[in-house]
Amino acid sequence: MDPPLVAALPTGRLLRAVTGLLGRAGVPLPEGSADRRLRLRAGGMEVLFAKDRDVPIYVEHGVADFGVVGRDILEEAPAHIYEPLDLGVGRCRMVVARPAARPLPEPPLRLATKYPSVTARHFGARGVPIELIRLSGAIELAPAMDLADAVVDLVETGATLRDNGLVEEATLFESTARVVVNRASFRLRGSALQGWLRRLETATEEE
Amino acid sequence: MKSTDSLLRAPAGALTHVGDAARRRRRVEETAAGVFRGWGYEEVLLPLFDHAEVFARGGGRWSERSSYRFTEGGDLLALRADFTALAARAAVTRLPREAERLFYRGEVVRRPGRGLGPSAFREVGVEHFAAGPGADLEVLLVALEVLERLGVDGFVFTLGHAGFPLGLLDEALPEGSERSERRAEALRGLWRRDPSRIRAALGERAGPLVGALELFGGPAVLEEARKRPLPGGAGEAVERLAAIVRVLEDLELASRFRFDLAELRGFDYYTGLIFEVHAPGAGQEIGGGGRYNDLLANFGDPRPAVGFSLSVDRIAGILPETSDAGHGATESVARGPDTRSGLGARFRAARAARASGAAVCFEPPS
Repeated sequence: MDPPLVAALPTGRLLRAVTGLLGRAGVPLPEGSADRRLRLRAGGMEVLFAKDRDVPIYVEHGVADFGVVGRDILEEAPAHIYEPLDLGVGRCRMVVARPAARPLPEPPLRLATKYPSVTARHFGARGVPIELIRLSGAIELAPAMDLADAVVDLVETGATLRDNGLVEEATLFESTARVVVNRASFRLRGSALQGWLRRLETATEEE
Repeated sequence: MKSTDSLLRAPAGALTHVGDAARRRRRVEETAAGVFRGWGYEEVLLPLFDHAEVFARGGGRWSERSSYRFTEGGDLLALRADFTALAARAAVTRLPREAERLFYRGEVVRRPGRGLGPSAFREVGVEHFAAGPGADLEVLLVALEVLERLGVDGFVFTLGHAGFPLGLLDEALPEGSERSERRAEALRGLWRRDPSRIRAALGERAGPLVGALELFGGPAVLEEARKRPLPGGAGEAVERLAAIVRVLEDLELASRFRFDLAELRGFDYYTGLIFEVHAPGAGQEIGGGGRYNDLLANFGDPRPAVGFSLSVDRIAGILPETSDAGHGATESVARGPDTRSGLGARFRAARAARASGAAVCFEPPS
């Protein structure tokens, strides 16, 4: 008898975005389940709740057979894992934003971000020299306090940017929730995983 | 105080294995070396560093970003991040042409990936400089025997063929200035099994390659692939895999093998057979390899090659428990006093035990 599949789910915004999908695919998650516990059983699976950035790590090491994570995380820290399904939910954009009242100065640009690799890659590919200021959150504060000329951040509606007097300068990519799969599990637990992937895909099409 | 500090503090990634962890790793290496020799492979001792160019020509994905590079006398050198490139260069420059079978064991060092600090991995592997299905089958069976002898439970080989996805990809790529960018993006999509990336790269011609992502499982996937319209290279790849599976069936080994016609292992240097080995308990592949017929040509000698490497650390992590204490039968030797006659008697008895082939175990001091 095979052990149950282990799924790593992100806490926070993305969890709310995928809860409905997971329910329709047969993994019912009680309201607020990630607030109380880090592990639970649902739909015959063991579910782990991890920080978004940690989901690919659990999956790459095979601690979780599969997981759900935003493309933003996968672009920032590429992992040696499969990304077979785009759930199409939790849609956001990775953008460069600057103060509305202050156009970008001549490079080098001072950029504040939680996504240093994405930022360095984007500007590096365009030959624009930058100074990176790595922050953990509330990125909008940095240009307001003149710590940075601009920010690179993930935005959903753009309301937070606008509320803080920022305008979007460029879009790097669109980010949605992805199903990621451990490469060994894909081989060893293939049929069980494929069943879940198909159910999730069907649930996505109903969205 | 400061010097004591750095003596006690190990830098991140610097691992010392003792006891069972050390014995398991050596058991994997020694078992593998015995099997390799048993199939006529000769050990090659490869340098710990070489010209960075050697690793770059070896084509391994470790070559560019993952190797530690340094300059010496104006040359750009790199620590060994990969064995295959070194073995290929040795085959071209140092070995008689009739040397067809090499094996290696040792560590490779790579720059930090996800973790902090360098990481060192122990590997064992073979290179077989020959063409044809016989050579492909041989390396598969050599790898299989290593895992059988170690008693690894439930391992599975997954076979693919580079000609299948690459044949479909070449067919789907439009001519034009963006061809190489599109190819690279489609390969990234294949490596990640991400249909959306393949569609983004190839547009409306992505269909056959996206369809290849579904071609994994038992030998029936080869039948399924045959039903599809295939360009020459892809069709030939399916027939080559079919020829291998027929022999594996004759040898009653087919249950160990699966197929995946989209797998490229994150490299693009394979030219034929590709395989990966997984086993329960190991979250990442325990080994893999394939055919890279262009490899030796990069060192000036166009000769075919097929090979694989196994991860000593990952296999050691899933070995079944044994009572192996790291030595054979032991003979207890009385300790006695540390006088001239006492020490003489003790070591006379010890040498006699050693001469008879027993391991010596001194009794604790009374």
